[in-house]
Amino acid sequence: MAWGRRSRSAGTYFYEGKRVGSKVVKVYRGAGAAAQAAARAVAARRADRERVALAASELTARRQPAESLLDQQYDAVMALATAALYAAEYWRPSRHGWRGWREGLRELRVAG
Amino acid sequence: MKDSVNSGSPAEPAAHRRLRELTARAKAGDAAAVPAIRDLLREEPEVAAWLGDLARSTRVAWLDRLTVSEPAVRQAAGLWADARRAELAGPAAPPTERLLADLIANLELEAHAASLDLALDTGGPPAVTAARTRRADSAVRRLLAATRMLRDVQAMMPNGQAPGPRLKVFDPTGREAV
Repeated sequence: MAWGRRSRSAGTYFYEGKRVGSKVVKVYRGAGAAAQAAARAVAARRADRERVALAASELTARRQPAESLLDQQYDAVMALATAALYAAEYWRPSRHGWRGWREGLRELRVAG
Repeated sequence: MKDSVNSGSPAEPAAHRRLRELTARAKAGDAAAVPAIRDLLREEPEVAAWLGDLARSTRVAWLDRLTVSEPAVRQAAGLWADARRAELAGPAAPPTERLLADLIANLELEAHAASLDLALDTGGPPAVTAARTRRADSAVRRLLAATRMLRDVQAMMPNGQAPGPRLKVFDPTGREAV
C-alpha cells in the first residue's frame, strides 16, 4: 500500500498494492477521507494476517519439545517391533499385513 | 508415579542404529539380515533400556504440556497413563509389548491434547484451526498404526521375541525332519 501525490498543490492519493496472479498491481482507492478509510482497512487486514501467523508459530513452538520426543519414540519403537517380527520369521509385503512362513509356502505352491 | 526423569531426549545407542539398518535390509529382502537382527535383539539389552528412558521422558513432556499449572490434573493424567499401559501390555508382557504399550499411552496423551486444542479453538483464525485439525488427524493415524502393531506382535509372538515355528522338510533317506 502507498500514498502518492501528483503535485505540490494537489492532495494525497491512496493506492493499495494487490497481487493478481504473479504480478502486484496498484489499485487507486481515492483521496481524502475515503483514502484514510481505505488505508485503515488495509492496515487492519495486515494486522489480522500477522496475528494469525504469530498464533500459528506460537502453537508450533509451544508443543515442539513434547512432539519431537514423541516422534523419536514412535520411530524407534516401531522400528524395534518391526525388527522383532522379522526376527520371529514374519515378513510383510508392501501394503499388506504381516505373514508367517506358512503363507509364503502356500504362495510358492500356488505359483508352482 | 515418578516423574523425575529429565525431559531431554536420551541419546540413541549404536545398537539401535544398527537395528534400523538391519531392518531396512530385511525390508529390502536381504534374508541374511534376519539372523543378525535376532542376535542383536538377544545381545543388546541397552536398546530396551534406552527406549524405556525415552518413553518416560516423552510422558513427562506430554504431562507438562497437558497440565501445565494443575498438579492434581497432572497426577490424575499420569495415573491414567500408567493404568492404560498396564491394561494394554499386562503384568508379564515381553519387552517389545511393554514398549509398544508405553508408546500407545503417550500417543493417547497426544491425541487427547490435539482434541482438546481443537475443541477449545472457537472463532480462531482458519489457518490455526486447519493446523490443529492436521495435527489431530496425524495423532490419530499414528495411534492406530501403533495399536495395530501391538495387536500383531501379541498375536504373532506370544512368547516374546522367540522365533516362530521353523520350516521342516521331510527327508525320506534320513527318516527325520531337518
